[in-house]
Amino acid sequence: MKAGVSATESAKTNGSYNIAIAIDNVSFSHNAAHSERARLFIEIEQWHLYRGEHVFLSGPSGSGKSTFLNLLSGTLTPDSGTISLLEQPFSALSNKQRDRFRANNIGVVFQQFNLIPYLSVKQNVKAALYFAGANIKDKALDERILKLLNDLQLSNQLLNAKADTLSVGQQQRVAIARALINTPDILIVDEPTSALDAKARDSFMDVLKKLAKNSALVFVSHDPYLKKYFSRHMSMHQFTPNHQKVAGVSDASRDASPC
Amino acid sequence: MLTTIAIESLKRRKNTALLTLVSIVISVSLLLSVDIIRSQVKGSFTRTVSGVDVIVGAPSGQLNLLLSSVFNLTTPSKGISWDRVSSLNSDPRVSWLIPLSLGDTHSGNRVVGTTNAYFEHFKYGDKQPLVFAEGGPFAHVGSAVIGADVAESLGYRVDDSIVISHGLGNVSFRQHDGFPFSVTGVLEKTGTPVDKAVYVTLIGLEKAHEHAGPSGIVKPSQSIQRPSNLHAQAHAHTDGETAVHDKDDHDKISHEKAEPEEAGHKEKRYEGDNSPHAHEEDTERQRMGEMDVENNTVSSVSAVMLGLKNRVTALQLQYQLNQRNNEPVLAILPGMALAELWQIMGNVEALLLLLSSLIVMSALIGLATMLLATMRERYQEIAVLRTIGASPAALLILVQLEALLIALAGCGVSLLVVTGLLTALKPWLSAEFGLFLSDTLLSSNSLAIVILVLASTYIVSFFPAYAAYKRGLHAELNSQ
Repeated sequence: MKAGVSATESAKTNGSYNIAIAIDNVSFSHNAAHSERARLFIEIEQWHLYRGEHVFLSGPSGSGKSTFLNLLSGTLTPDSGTISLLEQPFSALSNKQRDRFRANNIGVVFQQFNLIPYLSVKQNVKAALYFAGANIKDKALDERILKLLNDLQLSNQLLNAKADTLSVGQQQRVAIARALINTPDILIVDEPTSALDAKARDSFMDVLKKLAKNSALVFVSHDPYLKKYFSRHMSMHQFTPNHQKVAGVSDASRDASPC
Repeated sequence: MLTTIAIESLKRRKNTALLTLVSIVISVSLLLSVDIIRSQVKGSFTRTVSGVDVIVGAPSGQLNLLLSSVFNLTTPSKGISWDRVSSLNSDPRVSWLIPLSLGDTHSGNRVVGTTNAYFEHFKYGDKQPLVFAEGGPFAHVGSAVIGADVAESLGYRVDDSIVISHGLGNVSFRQHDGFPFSVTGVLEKTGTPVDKAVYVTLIGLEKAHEHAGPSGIVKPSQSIQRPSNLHAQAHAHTDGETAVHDKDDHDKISHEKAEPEEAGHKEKRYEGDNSPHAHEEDTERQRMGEMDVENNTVSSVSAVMLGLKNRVTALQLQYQLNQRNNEPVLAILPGMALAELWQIMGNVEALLLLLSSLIVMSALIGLATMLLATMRERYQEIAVLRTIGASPAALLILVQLEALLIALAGCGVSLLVVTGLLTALKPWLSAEFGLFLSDTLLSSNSLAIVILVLASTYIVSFFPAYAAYKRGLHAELNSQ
């Protein structure tokens, strides 16, 4: 292992949790021909996250956080090694199977550009149901959407409002609703609070933690203030052996060894 | 859901989408119009004559004879003698014969001198006979039978009196007002040139010409006059004067219906005295009415339509007639003449269709370009869709769906525009070009065009759709 952390089992791992994410000897490098990004290597020997476990991931810009999330969500495929999600070898699935798996089991919230701007709140949430294979004409689903939006303290009056007419805070809540509507086991949240003020940020975190309590949550943020919401903290780090930029993860809450 | 996303996406880009839609509507409308008019012209021509085996006229040209005798188009050639008509009538191969005398008009409608054989034997469409909506065939020499459009547009009914004009065109300067005709029958609508024709007896027409006299007196254009006015002109005619009415006067009277019962009063109003010509005319008409309407001996006719006992003899008869040296005539087979017409029109049709198709293709390429141009601004949208589980194939379908929705809307609007426009232009097309559009403008061809346009859209939109697909393959979370 050139970089990364041996993710030893924490005390939290008492067997009552199933493994939601398991990374085993994964390496990845952006193909310069297909990417505008600088050449970046990521190498992670072993790393696990359990259902119901919430982890805070930080790291400087360009450290490979987004690449790491893309690997987790299956939009990028590792060059070698295995990523297993919900105890299934995710990286071995076909593209189609991966898309359907993602729709059903992974919820994603971005920093911005979360929603399709020309769709209404309801349509944005329904789109996630549709791609997960749900029968979107089912009235029960409408009820589910309404309940989720209420839990997120979003007014019913906003149901048919176009996404781009909402405030940033409202958009982030809708994004959470969309991410949670399929009750995913894994939730990936990438710097969702950067555009929110302090009050909105705290409110957002409370709702997120509450609604995602049964999911494995990977929460990426630069804001050290938010660490307090998480019992497990990780950071992406870089080093440059042989003039190559290599990134790995260190798990501060566990027996993290520096690269 | 994909359709909803596609519709909302197009609504978001409504300006570019609308412009693209307009270009598709224009191009598809053009293609549909060309095709509809092409098939309507063909249908209209084919519908016009049915069951006529041979048409005989003076040697002029196959198409000219066909167009003048059947379609009331072009200028009729000089006539063929009655002797020749009689000899044709006595030919054992001939079952029936319809003589036609052409060259006059009434309010822009062709006047056809013929016999009752016309109403008995002439058929249109799928061998449908002519049916009278009102009245019946010629009852006396001064009888006239009018087509449905003539009756409708000029408001004529049975027993109305009409006067024909010499020569063709809407504006004629010579009226055969010395011999007015009275309407004895109005034909049911046929959707053929019959609707816009005025049929008078052969002898009546010849009499009308005789009444016009040899001097060729120039008169103001009056398609139809009140009897009083006729009398006024009769004065001018008999006195050898040239009467010129101003335009307003012409406009005022050109659409008025002749009302014989008011003749006396009107006469007073126009002339201030009781013209003796009124009585002369009435006497003349009475005399004509007593003549045998079936005695059709005239000096010559413009053409003759023949129905044969056995159609197999048509080619033989045509050959024999065309070979005669004494008083040469031209015999044509309507079907073959129409085939020649289509041959001439075929190339023009093909060219028009090709041009229209190219215009449609350029509009569809414009649609693809519009979608391709928006692709860059849709990268975020693609990334979002991918992360919520949309496959690259779903993105491909989404873009193609957008293209198909615009094309479908374009085709729908085009069908409405073309149907509406052609329906609105129906009277004008029949009046100006003798093109009788049927009530059902759209055909399986129109459907085929719509399907072809949609299929082309599907193919052309593959390029932007593939760009979305490729982008989807490499889309990453939060990529910008």
